Amino acid sequence: MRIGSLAVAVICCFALTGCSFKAPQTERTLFVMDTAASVKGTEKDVELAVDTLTDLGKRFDRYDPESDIYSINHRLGNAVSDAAAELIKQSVRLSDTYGETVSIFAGSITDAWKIGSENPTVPSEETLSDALNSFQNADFSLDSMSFADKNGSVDVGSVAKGYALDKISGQLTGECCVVSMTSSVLLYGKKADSEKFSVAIRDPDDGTKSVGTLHTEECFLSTSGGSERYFESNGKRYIHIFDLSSGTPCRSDLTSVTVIVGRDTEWGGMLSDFLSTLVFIGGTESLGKFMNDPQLGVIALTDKNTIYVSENVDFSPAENSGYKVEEWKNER
Amino acid sequence: MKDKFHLIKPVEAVIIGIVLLTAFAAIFITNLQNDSPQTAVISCGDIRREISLDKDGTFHFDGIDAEFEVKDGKIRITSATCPDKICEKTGFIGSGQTIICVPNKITVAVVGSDSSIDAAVG
Repeated sequence: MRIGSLAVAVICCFALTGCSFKAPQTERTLFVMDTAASVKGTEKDVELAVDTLTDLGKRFDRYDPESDIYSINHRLGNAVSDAAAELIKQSVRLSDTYGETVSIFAGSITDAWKIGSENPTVPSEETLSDALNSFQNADFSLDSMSFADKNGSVDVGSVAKGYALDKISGQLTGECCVVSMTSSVLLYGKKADSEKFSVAIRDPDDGTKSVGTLHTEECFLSTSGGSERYFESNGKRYIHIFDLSSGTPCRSDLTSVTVIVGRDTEWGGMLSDFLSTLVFIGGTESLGKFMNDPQLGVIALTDKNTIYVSENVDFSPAENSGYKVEEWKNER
Repeated sequence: MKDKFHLIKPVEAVIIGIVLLTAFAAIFITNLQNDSPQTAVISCGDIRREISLDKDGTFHFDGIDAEFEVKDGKIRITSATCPDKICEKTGFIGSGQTIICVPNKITVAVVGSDSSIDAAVG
């Protein structure tokens, strides 16, 4: 008898180490907004999030003839949904506040490079200068939600995921939910073991490796870099983030930028999505302002294998990642 | 007699020792294998397939334009019909990681039974 109970006790101990008393959780993966999304949480929350992602993905798909964005771009004159109008207004506000280096009206440049099609290509000089003209002369009216003339095209790729996460954040009711869209993540609520959330930051040179782990309370976070989205032509890599002054892929001395915004921040999802791209484009030269913003957490990787982490971020670097963490110094 | 009640017979001691050793070895091996067995969830449009990563081999699913290889608890896309081949270049993935083929709308996500990482970005 004694042996029996002891054995049971030992087996229980073993079982407990592999199990962490989590509330029943469901996980779903789906392909939406040109990326892989996964939702983990209660069944109700997962269903809500998947529905919202699917719905918004359709509305914002610039290649879907039934989408709001397609209607705007092809001057179809269909009524634009509240979601698309809100997304556009908030994007314009962000560009007004932080700068025009990220703009949702640069769709003609995306088109010139055939990004999103099966065969992205390097455009001819003529095509590129036409695209730039179309972007620079774009005159969009927020009242009518339309362009004044044939110039301009909307591409909400830089903010749509953040917007979707903002919407989902307001719908969730469970205790804990993780919505991951590869480059943008919503961490909602508190984990059952009250530990912080752990998020791996992918190595931009090798997506299967991580450069370290971020420990955080509930928040929105987004990463921008050239690793997930690029195409190759004649051995050269072209990333999908553009320098809007030249219409060519942006050359940044940063290789990956992660921006973390508290979940209680209004439009925090959009802010992190938008700023990760903006900070990436700006390079180390304009990093200081964001490193010191108490509202933001920033993890920036440089092409010299340095990782800059803002003070308010709890980050543990991976061993042997080839990167070294350096303190950000303001006098740079 | 009372004292004897608290004593462990040599046979019992040996059995308890074996049980403890087995338990520790099991914990050690489980940690070593990084929460094996794991499952890869492959989705493409409305098609959704799951494969266990504890058996090596190559796989193909009707309606999904790609081939998959499972090796040592990891999975990769070996041949896809997309032009850019970013999915193939991603190579083998493990727990918490994903492969995405944008042109074919294929996603592969490895779901672990228990992972300390809640999400990965980049």
